[in-house]
Amino acid sequence: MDETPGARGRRDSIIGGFMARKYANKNHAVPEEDDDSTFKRVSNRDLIHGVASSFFEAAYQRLKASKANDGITIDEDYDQFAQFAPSESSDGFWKDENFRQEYELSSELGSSQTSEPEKVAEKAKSGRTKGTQEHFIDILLDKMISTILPENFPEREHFSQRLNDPDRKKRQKLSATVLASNLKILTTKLGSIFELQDSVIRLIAWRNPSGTITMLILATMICFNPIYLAVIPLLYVLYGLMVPGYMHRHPPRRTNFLSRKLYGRSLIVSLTTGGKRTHNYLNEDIREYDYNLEADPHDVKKAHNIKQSMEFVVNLRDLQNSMSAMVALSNSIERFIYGTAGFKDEHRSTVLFLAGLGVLLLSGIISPFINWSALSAALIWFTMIAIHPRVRPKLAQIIKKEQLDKGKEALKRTERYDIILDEQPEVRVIEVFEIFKKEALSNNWTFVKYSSSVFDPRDSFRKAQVLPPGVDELERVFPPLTWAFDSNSDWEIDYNVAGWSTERCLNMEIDGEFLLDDAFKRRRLTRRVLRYASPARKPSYK
Amino acid sequence: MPLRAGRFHAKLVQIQGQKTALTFATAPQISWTLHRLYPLLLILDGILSNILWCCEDVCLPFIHSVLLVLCTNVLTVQDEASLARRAVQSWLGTMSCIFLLLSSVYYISSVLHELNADEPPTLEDIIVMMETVVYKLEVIREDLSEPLKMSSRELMTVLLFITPVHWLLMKYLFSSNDYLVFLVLFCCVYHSSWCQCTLRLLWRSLYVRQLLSLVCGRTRDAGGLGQMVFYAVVDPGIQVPRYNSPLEDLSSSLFSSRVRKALDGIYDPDLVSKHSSTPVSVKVVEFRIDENQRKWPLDGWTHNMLPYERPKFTASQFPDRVECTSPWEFQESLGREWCWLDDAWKPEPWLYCDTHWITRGDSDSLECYTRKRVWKRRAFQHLRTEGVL
Repeated sequence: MDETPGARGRRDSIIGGFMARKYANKNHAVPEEDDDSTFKRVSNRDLIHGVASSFFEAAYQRLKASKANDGITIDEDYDQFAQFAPSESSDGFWKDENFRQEYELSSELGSSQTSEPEKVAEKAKSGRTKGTQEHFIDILLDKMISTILPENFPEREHFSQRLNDPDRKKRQKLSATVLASNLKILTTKLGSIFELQDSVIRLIAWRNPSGTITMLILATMICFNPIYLAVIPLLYVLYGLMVPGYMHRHPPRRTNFLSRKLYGRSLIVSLTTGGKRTHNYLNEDIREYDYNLEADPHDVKKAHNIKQSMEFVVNLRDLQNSMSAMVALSNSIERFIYGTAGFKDEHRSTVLFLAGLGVLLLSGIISPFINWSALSAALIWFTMIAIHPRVRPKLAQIIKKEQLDKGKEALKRTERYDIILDEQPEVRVIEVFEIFKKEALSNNWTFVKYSSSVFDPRDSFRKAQVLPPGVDELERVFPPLTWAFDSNSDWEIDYNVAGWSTERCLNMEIDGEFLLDDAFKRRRLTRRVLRYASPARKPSYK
Repeated sequence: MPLRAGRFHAKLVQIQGQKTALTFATAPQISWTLHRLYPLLLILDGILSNILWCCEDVCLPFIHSVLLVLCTNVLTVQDEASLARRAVQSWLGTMSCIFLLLSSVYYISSVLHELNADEPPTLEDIIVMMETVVYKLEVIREDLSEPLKMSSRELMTVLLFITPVHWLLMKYLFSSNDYLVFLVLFCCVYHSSWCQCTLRLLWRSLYVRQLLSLVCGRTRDAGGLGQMVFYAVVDPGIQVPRYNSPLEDLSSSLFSSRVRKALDGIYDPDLVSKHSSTPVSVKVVEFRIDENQRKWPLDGWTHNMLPYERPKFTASQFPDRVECTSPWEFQESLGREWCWLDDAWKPEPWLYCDTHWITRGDSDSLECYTRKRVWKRRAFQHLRTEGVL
């Protein structure tokens, strides 16, 4: 391939754009059809879907461009996988090759079930109905989106063109039912993630002290030899997932002995415990594939269902909580990006920037003389010890609140007096035209308005025979938003009438400071306005 | 869903751990001794749990091993390291050594303290604890049994093999410190179920087994003892009449049938008297060749053997399984002095064995991974003694 993927992608879009324009012209030529009929064909839901997945599309396009010559595209491959994966995962996967005799026999026993081809046909039928018949919620959603979306929003053509891409059409559409079912499935399976979250919290709060120390030792190892960062996940896969799996299938004959009471305590644990460790129910969600039927399977299933629904609710709550946490996090990130980093409070931002720069330079200079591994390891240990629930109050006692307040005050003073914000403000000039009207009979002029418009004979207000927008007093003229008048300057009459009139291509009679036409005359008033800074950045949705 | 109602499933035997009514059955002296022993048992159990990594808190053995490794750092002196590094290392090592000592003292004292505070243990508690300790010791012995099973000869070869490897490793790859740390860590981890599972999973690999057999010198012996040894002697010398006129060929079917009859003890005097014949002394033997097969999950029973174990065909007389060709190739290579008594090789039924070729029975089951059968054919040889000639 002689062209780079980027070039190819651009060419595609150029061709696509050309085609879209061509068809748009055709629609113009045919008078019966609506102007945006091509857009109408694309439902709003499709459009939303297009917007949502446009992010992935960019990465995908690149990948595809490099694979275009292969016989099978990733798309097709994925589709094939998607077709076959469910059939494998639903039943067959959970069957055990070593106990084939059990389930083969059981399926023979259940001979009243429909035969295989029948089942397949049934499945195909249901699949077809699923394909053609849309869920009413989906239709509702479509309607809802169509009310949300304006018919002519910018870049609509862009999105609709991308939607018609044949590769994209194969993929799933935005659907409330799919979304809901995915959410349901995920929620049942997210339990382990939330359990992980809890265990991390336990680790940080020193409620599992030996675990915390183990974590610290591992972190230290990583600090001194970063390759452990790659090794430890592999170690986890091998010894955290695979060996327990093996141990489950081939128990090594070492059971955990449950004695009535465990005597003795470990010095490490008693020294470092940060509170009672709550029960951690590991491995409880692993269900053995039941081949022995000692218990009544109905009861087992019932109990399992109750547990599942309990877990579902708990998980849903956890999911909601973590979503709220995510929202809060994104809010604070946003605050930082648009506030502190966006020079909203210029004092604080300047201090922060200078401090950051100082740290950067300092670290650049002294970094060769520092053993970073030891430092980072020490830092981690110190931090973890500092946030230990028994150490923290003592530390807080040492670092008294007043001292903290003093430090804060000193910082504020620094911000106030050591940062000098005396940049030259931006200076611009605003203009207003003072418009006079000729009285009908005499040659007197009467004042009409202060306006931004020249109100010359070609002016649209003049043609419509209405007065231009404006005010009657000069005091009521305000500077543009975010700007302020220079208090040391006043409105000045622009005597260079020839200059400003030729700039506006007004070929009219000049009378001193005035520019005359048959009915009106106007003069130009200017005044300096100042602005210290442009308004801070804002996210588009605020 | 009682779908499988047609089948009846038996229950597994449950091992009853709890003994009933020990208090009355035990002599007070023994009870008293056991009671005195209880703290010791508890402490021993704690230590064993740490060694086996089967305590409630798995992180503790890990921390203990790390501390132990830090301790060993004190023992090894690294001259090339900087002073600061050595200082930090020895400080850390000493501290962790002290900490470990303190920790064990604390543990023991806490056990004693809690025992005093708690209500006294019942006899059942003590017995359960004793069983636990015994079981853990048993597990440790089991883990060690496989390496300790080596014969002294194997041990010698291992030592001979490993010493130069050790030397090379120490010389070029590792420092003595690393080696010691590795050794300490290995000893700490060895009894954990992770390590044991790793060893078992490693044992699944053909290459690992091959390497081990190479190191231990458990290679399979090549043949070369000669064909003379492939038989079992049925009769060292039996008198069989042989017709003189014309001189009967020994390989003829008539003569061999007469040998068979003679073996069965049917000596036909009529035949001898009718024809002119002289009795010949004949040595009758039975050639026995083992056919060995191994079960593979996908292919079933094949002749594909592990490289270090017995080959496809072996001579069955010898405990060290001499390699041999298949019976049909074997008969081609047999010398002319042997005449066949039986018409063909006769197989015995398969004997099914486990993976170590220990016979389990004559039908295939889950624990059978190998099988063998003996092919037999009798032959005889004319003994040319001085007296007869």
